Amino acid sequence: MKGGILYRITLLCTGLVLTTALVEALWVFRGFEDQLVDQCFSELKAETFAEEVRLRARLQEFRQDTLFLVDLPSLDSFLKTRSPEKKARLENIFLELAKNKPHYLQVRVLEASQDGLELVRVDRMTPDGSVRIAPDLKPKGHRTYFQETVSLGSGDVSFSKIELNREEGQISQPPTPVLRASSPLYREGKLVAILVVNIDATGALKRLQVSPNQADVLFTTDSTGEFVAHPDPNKTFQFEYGRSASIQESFPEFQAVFESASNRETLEPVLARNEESLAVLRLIAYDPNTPDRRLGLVASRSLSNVLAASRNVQHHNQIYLAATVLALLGSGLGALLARQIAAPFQSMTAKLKDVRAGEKVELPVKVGGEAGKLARAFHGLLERERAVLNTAADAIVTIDSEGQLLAFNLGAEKMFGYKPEEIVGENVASLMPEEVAAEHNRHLSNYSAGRGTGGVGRVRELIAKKKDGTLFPIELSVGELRLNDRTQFVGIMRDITERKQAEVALRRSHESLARSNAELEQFAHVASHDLQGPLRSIVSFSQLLQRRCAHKLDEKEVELLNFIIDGASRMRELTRDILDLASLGKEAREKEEVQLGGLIEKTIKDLKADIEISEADIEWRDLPTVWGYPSLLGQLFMNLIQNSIKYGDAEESPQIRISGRVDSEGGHILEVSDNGPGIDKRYHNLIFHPFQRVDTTKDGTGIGLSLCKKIVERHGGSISVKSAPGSGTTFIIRLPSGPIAAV
Amino acid sequence: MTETARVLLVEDSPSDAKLVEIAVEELNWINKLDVAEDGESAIAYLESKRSHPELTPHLILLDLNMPRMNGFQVLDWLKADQDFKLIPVVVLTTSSSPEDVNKAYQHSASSFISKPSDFSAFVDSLHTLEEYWFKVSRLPSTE
Repeated sequence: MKGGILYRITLLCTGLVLTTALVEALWVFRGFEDQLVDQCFSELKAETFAEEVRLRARLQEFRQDTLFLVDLPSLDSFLKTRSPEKKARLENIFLELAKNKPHYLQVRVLEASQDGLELVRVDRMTPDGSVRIAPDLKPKGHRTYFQETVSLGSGDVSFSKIELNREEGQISQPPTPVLRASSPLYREGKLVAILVVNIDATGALKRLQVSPNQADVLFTTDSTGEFVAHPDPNKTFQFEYGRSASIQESFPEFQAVFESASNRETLEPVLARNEESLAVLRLIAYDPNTPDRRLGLVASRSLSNVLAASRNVQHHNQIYLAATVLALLGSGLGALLARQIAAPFQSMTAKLKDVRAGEKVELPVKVGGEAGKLARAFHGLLERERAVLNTAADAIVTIDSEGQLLAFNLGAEKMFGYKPEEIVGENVASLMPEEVAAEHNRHLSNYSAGRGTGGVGRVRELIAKKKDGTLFPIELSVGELRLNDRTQFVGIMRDITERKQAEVALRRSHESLARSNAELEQFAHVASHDLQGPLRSIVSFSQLLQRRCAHKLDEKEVELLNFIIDGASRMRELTRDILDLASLGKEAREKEEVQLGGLIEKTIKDLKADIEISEADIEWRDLPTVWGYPSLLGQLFMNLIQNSIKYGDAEESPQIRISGRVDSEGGHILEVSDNGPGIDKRYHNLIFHPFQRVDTTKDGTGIGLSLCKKIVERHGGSISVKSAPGSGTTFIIRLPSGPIAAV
Repeated sequence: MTETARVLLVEDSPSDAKLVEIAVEELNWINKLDVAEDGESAIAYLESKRSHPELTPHLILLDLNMPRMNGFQVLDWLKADQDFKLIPVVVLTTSSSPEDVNKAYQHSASSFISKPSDFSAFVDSLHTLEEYWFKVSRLPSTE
């Protein structure tokens, strides 16, 4: 089981699940919360920055309004003349201005000398907000804002600390935060007056409390951390009442920042955290002349909001946990499933491991899925092998690399006479005579040592030995089986006793045929050749007798002598034709291109005498170039033309027509026709047999047409005749197309 | 051509030898014709003339198919013999096969004639033979 498929599947599944879960958990718990806090600080920083931008825009607006007033021509002319008319005019302008700018609480001009006496003053009255020209003018030289402003240069504007507005030393109701913008007035290089505008800062501070993120709380403090803007009004400006409400009560870490702020030129936002919230403090210096006059902009977010995402993650973690449990369950199920899947494979493996060739094996072929498919495939293979092994007439055996027999099929059983149980396990040498066995062992050991082919991949003939010791010839083919750790050989043996016998018989009959052919040829040669001498004697001496003794013989005796001469002459022709026929097969030259037109011309020239005597008319057309032996083809046409002349109609001169055409397969069809008496259909087959003569009234040996047939057949063609009495004769010759295309 | 011209016919067939004799007779051949009935006899005949160059034949008519020693062997023997190698040999045979013709010339025959089977043609052949070798050609001197 260890290392088996089930074990591996289970291990893999479990490993995967645990690895995933661990990685997930580590990632979440390690970094996520820190990341959230960092993220929150970044967002809070961004919010305080946005507040700073809003604040600075507002202050710029105040500064420009103040400088506008400083530059008023009416103010200039009043200061120049100090006349009541100019004063009244300036007061009117200030009144109009205050009416139009509701956040202007007070506009004043103070004498630069004389203890800062008020020269002109317009007040907004509480609670109705109306404006009036102040009836009572007071010296303000002791006030901080006065003292600060007199030291400024022309065009500078100073902003005061934000405080609650007071009337007659009392905090006006409702409490109103006030910011004083003041600027010096110079005339001919000499400070003459100071312009002071009291601005209601409620609006400005309110705007600083608007956070884009509703979850966040924004505070504004003074430079010591006391709230000047807070969602809870009771927390603001507590220092005005001798109490304290500061941001460092909630975030003690900020305390140090406020304490050390005056020593530092640029201030980075400062982060703080308590048990409930995170906060960012940005200290803004808003009066360039008094750098430590600052507003603290604070943005805060409760930790519960910050970690809302984290809680989501915790929720996710629970899901992960559940998923992990599920996955582990899945692994378990997977293992069970794997066991189920693996079972058929295991069963198959066990059964196939030691299966012997040709043995019947029960495999789980009915199982579904891949295992079933595999089982069916194996089953098919094994059954096929079994069928082959058990039905083959050949002996099929398997041996190992030592020659030990591992399998022995039914064919082998029948061929050698051994039962498998008798011979399996023995050495294959038992199946061979000693000398063959020695040879075989040499092959085998050479092959194992990497030398030679061991006979693998080719078919050999050798001698085998049956159980009863009978030796018989076999044909052996050897195939190699390379298994994982060993080599086996499959030998297929065929009993070739019968074939060997047939081969011997065939060889013998072939030899005997060749011998008798040669004898026949020899006979024909001798018959035709050696008979010439005696024939010559008969002919010559008969002729001599005729010549010398004719006058002594009577008519009857002369006729008898003539019979001898004629008979001998005919026999002479016969033997000559037999010689031609017999020697035709010995034509040894190569075929060549033969132009039949030229060949016919030459033949006609050779037959000139016969043609002139018979007044034969010969025409030819469309004759091709064929592939053949020129002398034989010449003889063919000569024989055919001679035949037409010889057997022609006595009344008419012979008309011979020779033509050629191409058949559908590219072969040649040649036709030689005449106007002779024709041949009766029943003789059509006979005429091509040697010595068969149809017309015995003419001289002839009956060899001519059989010679023609033999010539045509030597060219791989055929000859036939088309003829009927009274309608002439046509010989049709078919010749195959040669290696060169016909012209 | 003198009266002393001599021809040796080597022919195993008595009838063919007779035919030649009759033909020579009919042609009134001026030469002397001796006949040897096979190769061995021919050689014996020639050996007997070795010490008499004046009796050595001027021309030999040689058949090919003969018992004991055939025409080719006779040719070889003749052409290897210092005394007789100059004698022209005309092969006169029944055979007309190209192999025999070529073989005869390879064995240094001077001429090759197939025996006609017709008597008058046979006479014509011998007539031509006499005309050519004894009237047209010049033969080597035997003395």
